[in-house]
Amino acid sequence: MSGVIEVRGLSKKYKLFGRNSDRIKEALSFGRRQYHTPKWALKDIHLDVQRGSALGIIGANGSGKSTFMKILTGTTEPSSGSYTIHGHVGSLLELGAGFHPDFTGIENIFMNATILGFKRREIKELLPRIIDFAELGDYIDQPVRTYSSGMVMRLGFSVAMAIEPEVLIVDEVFAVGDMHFQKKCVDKIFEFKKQNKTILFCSHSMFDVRQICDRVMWLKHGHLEAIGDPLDVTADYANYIRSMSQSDKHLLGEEIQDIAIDDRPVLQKIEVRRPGQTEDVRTIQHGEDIEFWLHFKNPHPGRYHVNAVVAIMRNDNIITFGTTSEYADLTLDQEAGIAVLSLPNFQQLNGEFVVTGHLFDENHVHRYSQIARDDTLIITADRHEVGVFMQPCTWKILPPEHGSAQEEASSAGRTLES
Amino acid sequence: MTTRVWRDVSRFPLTILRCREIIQALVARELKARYRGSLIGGLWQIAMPLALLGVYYMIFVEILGVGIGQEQAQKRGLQPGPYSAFYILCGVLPYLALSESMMRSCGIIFENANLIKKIYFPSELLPVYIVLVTLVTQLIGTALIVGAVCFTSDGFPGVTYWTRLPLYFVVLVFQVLFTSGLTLFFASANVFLRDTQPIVNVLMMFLMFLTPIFYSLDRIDGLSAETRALFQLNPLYHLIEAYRWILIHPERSGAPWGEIGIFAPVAVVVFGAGLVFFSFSKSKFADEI
Repeated sequence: MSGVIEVRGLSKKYKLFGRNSDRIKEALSFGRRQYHTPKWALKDIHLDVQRGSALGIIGANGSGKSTFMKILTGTTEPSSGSYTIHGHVGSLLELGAGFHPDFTGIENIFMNATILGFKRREIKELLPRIIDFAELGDYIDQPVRTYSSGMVMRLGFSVAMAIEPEVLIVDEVFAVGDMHFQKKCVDKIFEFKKQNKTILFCSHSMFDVRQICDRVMWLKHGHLEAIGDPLDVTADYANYIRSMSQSDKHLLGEEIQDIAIDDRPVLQKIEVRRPGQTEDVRTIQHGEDIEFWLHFKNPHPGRYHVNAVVAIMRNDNIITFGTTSEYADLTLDQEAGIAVLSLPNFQQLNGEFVVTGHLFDENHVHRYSQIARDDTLIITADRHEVGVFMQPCTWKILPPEHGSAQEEASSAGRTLES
Repeated sequence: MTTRVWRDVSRFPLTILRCREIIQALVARELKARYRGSLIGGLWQIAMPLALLGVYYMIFVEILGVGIGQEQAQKRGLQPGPYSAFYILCGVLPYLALSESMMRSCGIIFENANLIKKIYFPSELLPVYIVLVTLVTQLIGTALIVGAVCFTSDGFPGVTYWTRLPLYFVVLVFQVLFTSGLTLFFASANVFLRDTQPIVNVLMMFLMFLTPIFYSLDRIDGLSAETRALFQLNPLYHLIEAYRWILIHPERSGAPWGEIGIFAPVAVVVFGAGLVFFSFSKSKFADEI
C-alpha cells in the first residue's frame, strides 16, 4: 500500500487588510513590518491517504474544508507545509466552476482536458464518452451559460471522470441534478473506488460520507479535530453540531409551573445504571439493558399523588424518549425511595443526551420537582441505520401480482432477516 | 517559491503552445461576442479602421490642414493628402491595439475568477489572448493601408515594397512581446491594487498625445535636440516610426534598423519583466479575487 496523497504540516494563512493602503505599506516594507491581521484557514494538517481509499472531509462552514480542497487541486498555494499527490487529479469543486460561460459544452471539455495535459487527439477519443455520460443532447453545442444547474453538474462530473484520474476530489456537488443522475454519479464513484482509485469526498451529508468513505477527517477552525472510522467521527461531529445549535439546556416543559409549596415531593438524584451494577454510567452501547434510578422524597405521601417521569433529550433539544410510572399503574406512595425504570435492549441510536427526571401530579399538569443529571449520556451505535431509534425489522420481496387485490399471507415472498 | 516562479517563466512558451487551442477559442469567443446581435457582424472589423481613416483624414488634413511631410510625400510619388492619412493610421492602429489591450487586461483576471479560483487554470493565457484580440483590427487596418498605398502611388510601388512587408511581421512580433509584457504586468497589478485601472487610463491618454501619432516631430518648429530626445524615450515612438518606414515609404529600400534596434530590446525587457512579475504574483490570485 502506498500513500497516494501525502500532506505534511499544511497551513494556509489569509491576510486581512483593514485598508488597501495597508497592503501597499506592507508590500513596500518588504517583510519588515506587518500590517495585516492573519487568519489561519488551515493549521498544520498532516495526512496520508492510501491508494484505493475514500476519505471523507467534514466540518462546519468556514472550517477550512474548501481551502484544503483548493490547495490539493492546485488553485491556491499553502502558506507553509507541503503536499504530494501521485497521479492525475480530477476535481469537482463547485458547480459550474472551471467552465467558461461563453464556451459551448464541447469547447469547455477541450479547455478543461487541455489544462489537465491532454492532447487534442486524446480528447477527441474521450469526447463521445463524455458527451454520452453527460446526457446533454444538442445542448453540448450551446454556451454553458444557457445550461441549467443540473446540466452544468452533469458536464462537470463527466469531464472529471472521463479523464480517468487517479484521485478524485469531490466537494459537495450532488445537491443538484435529478435523482437519475445523482444515482449515476454515486454508482460511478463506487465503481471508481473498486478500481482501487482514491477519493476525497467533502460533504455536509453525514449519510453520504458514511456510505462512501472508509475514513473521515473532521476539520474544526482549520485544524484536524479528528480522523478515523466514519461512524465514530461523523457521530462525534453530529454531536458537536447539535450542541452548537443548542442555545440553553431547557428541561422539558418549561411552561408547566412548579408548584410552590413546602414539603413538596422532590427528586434528589437521577442515575443511569447497568442492571446489577452500581456505577452511574456516562456511555452506553445501543442495545444494552439500562436502568434509570430516580431517588425521591415525598414527606406527605397521603397528600400528594406522585408519578415519576423519565425523559431523555438529545442535544438538539429533541425529546427522543419519555415515559411515566402512571402507565405502569404505579404511584409513589412511600416517604422516600428509588423509582427504577428498566429499559431492556435500549433501541436508542447514537447521540448525546440529557437525562431528566420529573415528579408530576396525577394529571401530569403540575410538576413537583425536576432534575437533570450533570453528565450527559452518550450512546454509541455501531450500526449504519439513521434516525433516532432502531426498529427491529425484516425485509421480503414479493412478485408483482401481490401489489394488488387480495393480500394473502402466502409464503411466496422470501423473508430476509435484517 | 522562487523556483516555482522561474519554472513558470521558463515554461511560458510551452504553456502557450500547449494551450494554443484555448487561446484560439478565447479569441474567437471574444470577437464573436463583440458583434453578437449586430447586423454586419465581422464587417465592423473593416468598417472601424475605415471610419478612423475617414475621420482623421477629414479633421487633420482637410480641416486643420496639418499636412504631414508633404514635400517628402511628393518627392516619393505619393499624394500629400492620402500620405497624411496613412501617416496617422500607421500610428493610430498600434496605439489603439496597445491601449485596448492595457485597459482590458486590468479586468481580465476578475472576469475569469470562475476559472482561476476553482481549477488549476494557466492564468497567463488571459493577458496574452487579449493582446491577440486587439491585433485583429490592427492587421485589417494595415492591410487597408497597404492596399491604399498601392492604389494612390504613382504607378506600382516597386518590388522593394513587397519584399519589405515581411519586416512588418518582425516588428509585430516585438510589438506583441511588448504589449504582452505590459498586459501581464497590469493584469496582476490590478488584482492587488484596483487603482491600476484608472492609472492605466490616464497613462494611455498621455501616451496618445506624447507620441507623434497626429503630428510629426519634423514639423514642430524650433524643437530642441533635448526635447526630441525626450520624445524618443517613448518606445512607442520607435515602434510607430518603424511601421511608417515599412508601410508608407514604398520608395525606400533596406530596413528601419535604427527603430527596430531600439524597440526590440525594450520589448524583450518589458516582456521579461512583465512575465516575471506575473509569475510571481499569480499564485496569490485565487486568494485575492
